[in-house]
Amino acid sequence: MARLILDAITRRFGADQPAVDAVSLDIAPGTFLALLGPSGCGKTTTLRLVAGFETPDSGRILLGDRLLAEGARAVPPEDRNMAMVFQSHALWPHMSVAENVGYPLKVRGLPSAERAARIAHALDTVDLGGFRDRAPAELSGGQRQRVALARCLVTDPDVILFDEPLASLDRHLKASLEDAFRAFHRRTGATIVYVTHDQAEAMALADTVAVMDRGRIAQAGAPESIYRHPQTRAVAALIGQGAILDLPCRFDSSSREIGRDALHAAFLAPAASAGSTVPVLVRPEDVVADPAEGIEFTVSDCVFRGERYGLALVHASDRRVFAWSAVAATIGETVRYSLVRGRLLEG
Amino acid sequence: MALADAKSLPLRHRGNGQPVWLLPALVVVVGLICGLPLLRLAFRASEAVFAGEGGSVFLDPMTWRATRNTLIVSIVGTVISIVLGALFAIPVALTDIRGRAALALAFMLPMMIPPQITALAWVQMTGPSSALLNAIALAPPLGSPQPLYSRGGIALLIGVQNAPLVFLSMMAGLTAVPRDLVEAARLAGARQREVLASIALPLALPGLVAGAALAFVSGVGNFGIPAILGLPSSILTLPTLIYVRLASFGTGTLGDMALLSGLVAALAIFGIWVQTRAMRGRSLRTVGHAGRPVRFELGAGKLPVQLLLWFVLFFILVAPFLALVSTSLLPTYGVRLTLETASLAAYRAVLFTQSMTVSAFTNSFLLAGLAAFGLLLVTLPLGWYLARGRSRLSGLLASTIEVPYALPGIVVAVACILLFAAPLPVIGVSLYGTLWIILFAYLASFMAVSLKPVAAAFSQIDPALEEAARLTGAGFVRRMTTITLPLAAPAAGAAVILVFLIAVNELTISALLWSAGTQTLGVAVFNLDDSGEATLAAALSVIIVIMVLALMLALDRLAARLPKGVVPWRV
Repeated sequence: MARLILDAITRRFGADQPAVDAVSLDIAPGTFLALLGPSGCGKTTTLRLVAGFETPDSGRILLGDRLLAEGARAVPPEDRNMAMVFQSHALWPHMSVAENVGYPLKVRGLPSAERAARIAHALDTVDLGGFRDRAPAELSGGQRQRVALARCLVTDPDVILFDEPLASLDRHLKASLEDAFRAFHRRTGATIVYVTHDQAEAMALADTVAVMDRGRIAQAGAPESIYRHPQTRAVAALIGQGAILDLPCRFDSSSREIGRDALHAAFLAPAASAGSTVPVLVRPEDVVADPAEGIEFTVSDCVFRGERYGLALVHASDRRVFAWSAVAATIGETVRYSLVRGRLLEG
Repeated sequence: MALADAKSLPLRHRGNGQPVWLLPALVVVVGLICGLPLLRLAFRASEAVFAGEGGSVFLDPMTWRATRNTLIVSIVGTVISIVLGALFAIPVALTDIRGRAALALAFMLPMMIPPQITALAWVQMTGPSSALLNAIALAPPLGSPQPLYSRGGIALLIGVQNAPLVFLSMMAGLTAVPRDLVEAARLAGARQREVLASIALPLALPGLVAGAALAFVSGVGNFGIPAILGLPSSILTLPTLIYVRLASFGTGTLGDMALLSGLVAALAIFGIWVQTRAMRGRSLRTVGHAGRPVRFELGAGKLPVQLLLWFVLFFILVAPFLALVSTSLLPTYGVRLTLETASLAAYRAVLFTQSMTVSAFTNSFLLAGLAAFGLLLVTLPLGWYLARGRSRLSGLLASTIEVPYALPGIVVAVACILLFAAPLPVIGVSLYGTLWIILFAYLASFMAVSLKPVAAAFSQIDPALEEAARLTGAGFVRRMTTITLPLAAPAAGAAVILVFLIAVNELTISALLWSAGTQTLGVAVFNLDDSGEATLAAALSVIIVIMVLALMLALDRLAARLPKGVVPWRV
């Protein structure tokens, strides 16, 4: 197992802003890295650069001490020992399930007895033991993705790449395949790079999340750390829920955490007196009912979320926050809530 | 980080993993086969102009008479094609009449049957010596003129032959009219007739103009019909003039032939220009959902329309074929056909005893087979390259292939004569007068036919299928042979059948390039008719028509597994 290192890689298509702009990542062996971002942020191009389908204009990609790409000079994909699960499954329609899974072994010239054993093992791993002679067209979307996964399994690749594998599936299938991917990672300990635009998927699967924005890595870290300590407005908007408030700048900038009193003071400051403002993230769980000392809000919306209600609260200054509530509220009702914690963001 | 001790030397490679030799190889092959002959023709023609040889061509009244004839028969023919094509395209594409698929397939036949056979069949159907008319006692009295040996006759048959071009081109526009558009118009209060006139027909107009332009180009280059109908009464068009010149003066008049071909090419290029302009408006097609075509209900008008269409088909298709069959069953030409006199002697002769026709079968099958499979060797890699490559040369390659296909066969044939009149450099072998010059001309003319289905198939294959194979470690050749080519196999099969179908019946090119021993089936029919062997010519024609039908049915069987548009009559 070897580290996968992206060293300041840049890729531009035409003369526009680069699709991937000086991206650097150091991915330890066995990491499950999710590349998360809105469409067009460069995450798929980054993945294709790692696979070798694209070559960088500048920068380097290394796997351990093996140089995979340096500028336009690059090792072709067929020599990288990687595997990929595509959004479109990319199962070969003219081959059976077993032939699809066994193809990489055939390419490597394994004897047929060993091939059969490995195919059977890989198919059992994804719970498709009885499907070996089916054609891909006879399978459901979820089963096809499992076959694609089994095809990655058979060869012990150094890195497994996932290109939005769940994007075209329904919610129920998504959940069951997420479980399959997690189990797969636990069992194999493979290094995984997983591209998605769905933050819940990234949080549920990855041990490291790299948020991409306009070709750059906006922030990378453990899911919980990104959720708790988002650094920029873009990351805060993409990860989790909450309101981003533009409040007058009165905070001690040595700490990014803002306590209740400072937050209330800024929140209640008249907008007119504001010179410059800074963005502050307030998560719904930090907005708590406080009938005695809370700020007065009007309920502008109340949505049932199953286990609780989501409230949209609007203040007389027209500033809005979101809160959770165990009980329903009436729209137009006046309530008192406290903002117990906020987080200062960059730009 | 271990940047300093990077072990493996990285390789330079392209994103889609094609080998470096692929593009140069394709450029050389396409350039040699499709580009070189026409460049040679253009060079020789301008040489002739600058050397003052033009006088013998441009001052000759024969040239202008032939040009005038060519224009008359192709323009009148185009008008007939438009009338017939629209008559079939509108009901088949837009209404609920029965048997639309059968009508479309049947209406395609005049285009697939070689022109000289169409001409023969119509001659057998109409003249005073028609076996069919004599058998049913409807023949005009002996000595009355054959009405088809005239400019009108030539124009009529060219019109029938090329009507499917207008039909297909209109169908493409009409079937793309989204049902949503029509339903929206009807909800807005428009009646069926208004919808047809105000929405459907304007959308079909570019198709009609483009189809008419194609029919004109095809009419200008048509050789088989004016050769059968015009030569006996000395009505020459430009292609038959070139043929007569070559036959009477040999290759000594190469400069004249280059200039005459240039004239044909100029007329054709004008038609192609009109067609290209007409197709520019086609971006309308992508609006709305395609897939669910429009069906206007004809109600009480349904039966008369069906009857009319089948009646026309009977007249242009069934009756000529019956006439051909009747003649082919005669023991000798002129005998009255009855059940007692009917004989299969002519079939026995053309299939087994006549060495001229037997060798024509061998030659045509060999040429068509070599062209069909040989072209795949070029069009498979080329089709893949056009779908996956990112080179600026793609467009140039594609149009270099289109040119010899779009230009009349007579032009390509003259270009090949010019290219191969002298022995090949270095090896000193002359191709002129051998089968190989015909094969070369076929390769140039039909490369576009072979490319179309293959390129369509490649552009429909998800690139991820190849990328997945790449990541498993499969190199270019392995990916092609195990993943890409198996998926493109049905289209390759269609390409083989289409090229074989066209090449095995070809007349125009081989009429100029054949010599003793290398005659093709097309030339054989023409020569038999020319030497008065009407029954043998008819029998050979019947066999060829049956072969065409069999190949079309084979292609039709394959249609479900092919990209849309590969089988021309499946719309």
